[in-house]
Amino acid sequence: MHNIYLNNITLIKNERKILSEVNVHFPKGKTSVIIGPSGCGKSTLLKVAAALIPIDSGNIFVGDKNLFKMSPVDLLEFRKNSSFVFQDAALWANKSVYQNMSLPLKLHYPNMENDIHDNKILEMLRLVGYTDSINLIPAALSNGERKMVSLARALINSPELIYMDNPLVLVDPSVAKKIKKLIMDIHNSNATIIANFSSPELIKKIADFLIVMKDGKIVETGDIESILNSKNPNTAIIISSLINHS
Amino acid sequence: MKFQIRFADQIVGLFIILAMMSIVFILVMMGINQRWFAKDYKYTSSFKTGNGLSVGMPIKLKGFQIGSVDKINLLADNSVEINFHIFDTYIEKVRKNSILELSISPIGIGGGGMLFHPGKSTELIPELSSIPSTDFEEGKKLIAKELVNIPPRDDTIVNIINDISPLLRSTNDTMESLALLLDTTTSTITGEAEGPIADIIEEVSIMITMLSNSITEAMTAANTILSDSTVITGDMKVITARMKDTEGLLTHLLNPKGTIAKLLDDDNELYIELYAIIEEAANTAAELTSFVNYINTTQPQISELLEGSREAIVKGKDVLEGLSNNPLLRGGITAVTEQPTTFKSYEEEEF
Amino acid sequence: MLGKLGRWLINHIKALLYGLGFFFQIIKATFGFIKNGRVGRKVLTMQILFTGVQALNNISLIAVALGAVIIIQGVGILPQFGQGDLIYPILITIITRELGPMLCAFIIIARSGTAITTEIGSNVVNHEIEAYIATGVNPLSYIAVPRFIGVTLSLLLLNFYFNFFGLIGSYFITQFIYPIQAAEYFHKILYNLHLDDIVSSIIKSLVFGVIISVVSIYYGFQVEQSSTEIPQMTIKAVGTAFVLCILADALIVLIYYT
Repeated sequence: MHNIYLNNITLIKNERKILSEVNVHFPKGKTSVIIGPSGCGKSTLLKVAAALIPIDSGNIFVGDKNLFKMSPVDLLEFRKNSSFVFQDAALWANKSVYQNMSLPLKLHYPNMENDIHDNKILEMLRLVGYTDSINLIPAALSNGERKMVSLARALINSPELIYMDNPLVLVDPSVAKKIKKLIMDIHNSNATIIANFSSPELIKKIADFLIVMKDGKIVETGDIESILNSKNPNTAIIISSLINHS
Repeated sequence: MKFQIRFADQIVGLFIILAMMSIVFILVMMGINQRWFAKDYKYTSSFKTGNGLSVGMPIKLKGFQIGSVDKINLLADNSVEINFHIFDTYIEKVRKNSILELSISPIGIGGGGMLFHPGKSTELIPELSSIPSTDFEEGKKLIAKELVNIPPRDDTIVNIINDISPLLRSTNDTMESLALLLDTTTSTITGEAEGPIADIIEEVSIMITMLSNSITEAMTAANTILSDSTVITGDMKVITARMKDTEGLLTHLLNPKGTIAKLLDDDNELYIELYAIIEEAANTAAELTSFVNYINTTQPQISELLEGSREAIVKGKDVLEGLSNNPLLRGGITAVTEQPTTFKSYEEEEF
Repeated sequence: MLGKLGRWLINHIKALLYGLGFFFQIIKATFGFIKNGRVGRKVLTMQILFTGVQALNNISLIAVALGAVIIIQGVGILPQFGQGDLIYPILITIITRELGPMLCAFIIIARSGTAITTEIGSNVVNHEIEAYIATGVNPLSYIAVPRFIGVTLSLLLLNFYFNFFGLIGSYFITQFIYPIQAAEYFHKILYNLHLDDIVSSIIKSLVFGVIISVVSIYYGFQVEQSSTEIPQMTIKAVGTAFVLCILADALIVLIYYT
């Protein structure tokens, strides 16, 4: 997977600028974390970086390829090697846990044998700590279980690039602990992570690169040391509120 | 519900197959019924008018549909050409001298149709040929020459009119010859014409014998007609009476508040017209009765024949005109002066 | 005032062009689906099950009842005018040509049109569509196209059933009230039923199917963030589908019979 570049991204919704001329890059093999006050556009930036929502202007480059002008084959390859963990799990409601896991596998590995396919699903669910029935539909699961399945779904194709949007929100401490451990493992596996974490502890532990945002604009970017010691008053306020909050 | 989802593929498959089968079944049955796969033989014919003709009109032979009308065209000479087809199963009926007849019901509603009368020949008419219709001379001649198989009509009125026509024509011809003879005799007697009187008298004598024979022959038919027309007159009177009946069916149907009247909303025109038609038909039949009675009375009074014949000519002409103008067939009868009969019938005579 | 009117007009033209663009995208994706629709095939099967199979009891009941009512009324009234045979063309005009496709369309709008808009709307609100995109699934191919094909095909098939039940099933119901000779009835029905009637009926159900599915999917995707938008968009979808179906019907009748 290559570096991800966002050039002059602007996103307007209901005549309000959600993102305003954002220029940022996410280095390959590193964990980049977006921080900023609530409602500053962190989740939106994450989704834009994954090309999940349309933008009004700007470009996204994966290496030297424009994500919006990619051929369907290249785009499918990009999707195969990347995944997204949503804040609210976003499991497909009309599909069972098994079907939720199976769809990405079948899409990218259509010729995979059934045994291998099923084993992979079970293995991944075990890895995230999901122990309930695979035939349940998402509505029958707890928040924590949904998050687990969501993570398992994101990891099933062993992606090189993972977007994570607040994966620890709305989970109880025991599940949070499991998820944190899993994120650490992903971080150590040299995958590229672009995340929006609310846990300062996790940020301190795994963030290689920080992007500070305010009001839809990038305030500052840099490695964790430089950001923590930044002289920028906006960055200082954001960092202090994050630490105080924790 | 779980069952449906579990066997979704099979259920949806069955759903699609049954739908396809139902539409294919309907299409096949339509094809069979509408003869999509059978060959039709095309012909043409001509009529004087397009009235009563319609595209898709069935062509029937003895109540069986043997084909239908495809196209109707008005030609440059104002005659109407029709294109029609005959089903392959009935093609052996399309023999030489076959004719088409457009039959319109005398009452005007329903009952009409295109009738096919096969020729008596064994030779078949090739496809795309023109088959004559009874509207034109060619068709009429074929009937006159008895080259066509025309089934007897089951309509009493039509039967009687058909029987009367040749009789009246022959009587009329005889009367006209007699009138001519009478004129010649009169002029000879008054000295206006020359010629041997004996010859003329002889000629009259022959003529009278001929008429006597003719009338004797006519008597049989006349008696039948007399009884038939008496029945008809009676029927007509009954119908007329029923029409007048305020509680009757016709009144109910035709009264201004009735169902038909409401639909037609024509100020009772249909009622009045229908009433007039039936009343006139009754008059005609009554006249016919008196005419036949008249003929009856003339036979024993040969000596009075010449005098009576003159009156009979006029009367005969009137009745002919009346019949030809019969409202059931066309429209109206011209007013006639009442011609009282001067002779009595056999039944009234004392022996 | 003039400015407002201008803006209103421009917005509507934009929405119309967007809708047309959306329609062509679906058509384009449909060809892709037909060529390589392995992943979405199950969705298509389920869509036909929900839209077609599960609506069959409603459709057949309405068809049989409507056919029987026409026959009973017709047999009672028409012979009084000497036009007893007119019952067959009337039955065909109503069941096959006019009311059949339209009634099927109305039932599908009420049953499946609303369901599609609601489902897609809640997919959007719950970020399920984004999850599809992130996985590499094209929502148009996976969500829109199976519903588009499923609804259109189901409506066509339901129309066949409607004709079958309306023309043939209704006969058996009528037997309890007005016994008619079976041979005479079926011969005359099949004699009066023309290929034109069937083709017109097929065209109508295909057009109505396309309208209902595209409109329902379009309004489903119009939901943006909140679940309160879902019922609003569903109402809009139903209204638009009704109006477009009636307009399309009038247009088809105009083109077909003039």
